[in-house]
Amino acid sequence: MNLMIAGVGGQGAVLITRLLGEAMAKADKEVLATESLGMAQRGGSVVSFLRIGEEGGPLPGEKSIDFLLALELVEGLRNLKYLKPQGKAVLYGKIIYPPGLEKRDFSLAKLNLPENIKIFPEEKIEGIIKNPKTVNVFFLGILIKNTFPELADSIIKTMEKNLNPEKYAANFQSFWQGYNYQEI
Amino acid sequence: MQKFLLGNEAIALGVIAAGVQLVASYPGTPSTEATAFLVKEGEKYGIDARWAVNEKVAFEIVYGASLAGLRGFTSMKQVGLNVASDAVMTAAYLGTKGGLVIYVADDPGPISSQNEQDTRIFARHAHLPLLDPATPKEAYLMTREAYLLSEKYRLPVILRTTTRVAHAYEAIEFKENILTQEKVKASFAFNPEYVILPARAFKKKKELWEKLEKISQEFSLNSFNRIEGKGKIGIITGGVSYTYVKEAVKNLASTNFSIFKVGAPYPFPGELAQKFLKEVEMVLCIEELEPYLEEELLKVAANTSFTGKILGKLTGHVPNRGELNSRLVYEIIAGISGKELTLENNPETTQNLFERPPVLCAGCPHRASFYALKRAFLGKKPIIAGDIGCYTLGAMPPLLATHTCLAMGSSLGMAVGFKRAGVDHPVIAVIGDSTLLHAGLPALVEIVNNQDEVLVAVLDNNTVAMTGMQERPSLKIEEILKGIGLKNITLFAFNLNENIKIIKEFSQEPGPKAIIFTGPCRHQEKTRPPLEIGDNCSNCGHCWQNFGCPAIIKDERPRIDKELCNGCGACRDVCPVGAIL
Repeated sequence: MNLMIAGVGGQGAVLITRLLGEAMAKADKEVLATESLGMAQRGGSVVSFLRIGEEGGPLPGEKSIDFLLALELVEGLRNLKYLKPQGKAVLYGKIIYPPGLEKRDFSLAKLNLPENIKIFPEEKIEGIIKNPKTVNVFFLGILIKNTFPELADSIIKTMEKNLNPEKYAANFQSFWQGYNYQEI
Repeated sequence: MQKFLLGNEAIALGVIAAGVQLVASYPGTPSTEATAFLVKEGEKYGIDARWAVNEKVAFEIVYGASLAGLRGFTSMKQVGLNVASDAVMTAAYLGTKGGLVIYVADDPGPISSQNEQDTRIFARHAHLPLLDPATPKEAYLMTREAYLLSEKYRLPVILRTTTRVAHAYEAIEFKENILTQEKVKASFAFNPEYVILPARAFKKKKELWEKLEKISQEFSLNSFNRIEGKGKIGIITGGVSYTYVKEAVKNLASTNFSIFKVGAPYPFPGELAQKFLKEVEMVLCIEELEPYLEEELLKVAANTSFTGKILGKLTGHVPNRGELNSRLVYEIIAGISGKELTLENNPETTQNLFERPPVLCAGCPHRASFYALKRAFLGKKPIIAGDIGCYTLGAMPPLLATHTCLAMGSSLGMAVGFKRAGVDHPVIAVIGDSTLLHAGLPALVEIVNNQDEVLVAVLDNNTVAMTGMQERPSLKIEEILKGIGLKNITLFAFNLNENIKIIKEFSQEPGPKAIIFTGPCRHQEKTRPPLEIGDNCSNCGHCWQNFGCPAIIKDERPRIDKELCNGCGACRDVCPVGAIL
């Protein structure tokens, strides 16, 4: 299976890629992952790829992704070309504009996306998770539910090992809220 | 148990397992995490691992350690090797004692660099053996092998990766404890052979050629170089490209291929290449960056009876820039072998998407420094030479604060060049603290010695921020400038309005001069409460049009994003009506 995580530098896409990969490795899955580091982390477009049990190279290329998670709408739309025709995508509806850019129309009606691409509306998130810094882990919960639900406990253990207790508590909650979210 | 490791971390573990005792490096994406890991963990294993002021000094440190009999390790990015190259080129002639590995990470794309240079070409140029792993797992194995090779032939060995090996994570099986070798006590053999002189270089070069001939023969037998499968179509490949080729060949199962996997590409394994050419009717060369394997194979083919085609970058069958990927390599190989593509294509999505280049962070002191400089020189059209670091991003809109960027430290020399050329503009050179120490000090001497009319702006955030906040030498920039004789003042970057006034005045003084802008990196500063925009905002747009902080959002009226703002307060001075509180 090929997974892709897209977002804006600073949103925590890199962190959830690592959590995911480490949890996979612990569960004895064959996993290869790669991500953007360095300059792109300064508010630029960030993507990472995880290949699980694929015996291939780190960059799978276009039309190869089974599940795309985007932590920002425009980064999601930009990367839809990586999705397999039957692949699934979950895009967080929040739009982050580069400094000074005029707003544009990304209304869902205009986007007219197919069934396999779901958008999670930005206004819904506040009613669900308490700490806005854990949005990434909320969506990690959704990703896991849709791809490797049996690895949920391994993710939790990996978070416990890698995060300080305060952050872990907040992320623990958000992860399960994402995992148990029904409407996607 | 399995560990999920970055390629760079796997290399660091290889360094530990090889019993290395001295590590010195300068950070640079995508190489940084190898030495970062050793700086953090090295002490446990008896390794002296430190960040050095630049790659040349770092190499010289580990080279010295090697002559004293210790194993040494240095890591750098591809352009860092240019800085080290003066010493590296001649170290090949003098040779080594303790095993010495130069780890260089290349950046196809480029993703985080100013060019796409290929270290395999450098190895050929420098006559240094080079290993080129395909995966993090292989990077670990090759690191250990590199030390054996280095000590056998008494040469520095280059371990080279590209981004998708250095920055790939892989689940690797490890024993819980890495057994480390016994440490060696330093001992220097006083040997005149360690002094390079023209006549000695002539003699040493003969020895060097003899070593390379032997290594080439060994590389034809080494398991890192091997022929896999049997087919009329040959594919020569190495590094990460090998993983893409393997995957494509697996998916094109109805055709048989002979894959020549070159993991030790310099000196080129000519004998094995001849064997490969005997088995195939045509060859496809799949590699990133330069057509190195392609050229080497063409050279070998010229001396054999091989009459088939050799296809690759030189024939336009493989892209000559950027990264490869599984899909692309599949398409190239399928095309060559006359296969119909079995992969489906999605219709392109055609939304009106905006680009998202990286930007200076919210709360970055550099934005404040650039803004003050631009305001102080408003209407005077200064030429502002930029440099390498986070502040390279000062060139992006809306700041548009720098007009050139070439290489580490180049802002200073280029500024002198503009001035001596006789341009009619004020000339400013902007350089970060770590970049100044890395490659800027000789240019400062040049400026002072010739009294060139240049304003040097040092953006001092007291860290190597771009590569992840490594330590820079703790010397005070102010004292260095004073010692060199460069008149200077220090300003706290976030006091914008006050700074604009001071800069205007200070820049009137004749002769070369420097302003040191201080202010901590946003990532090393505690977050203070976010600012707010009050009701007296006149909606003039000055803040988002000219300052460009990502925390200032343009809505119907500008507002401040509470998640992004870290309360640095610089924008208070930007607002003409004092509405930001």
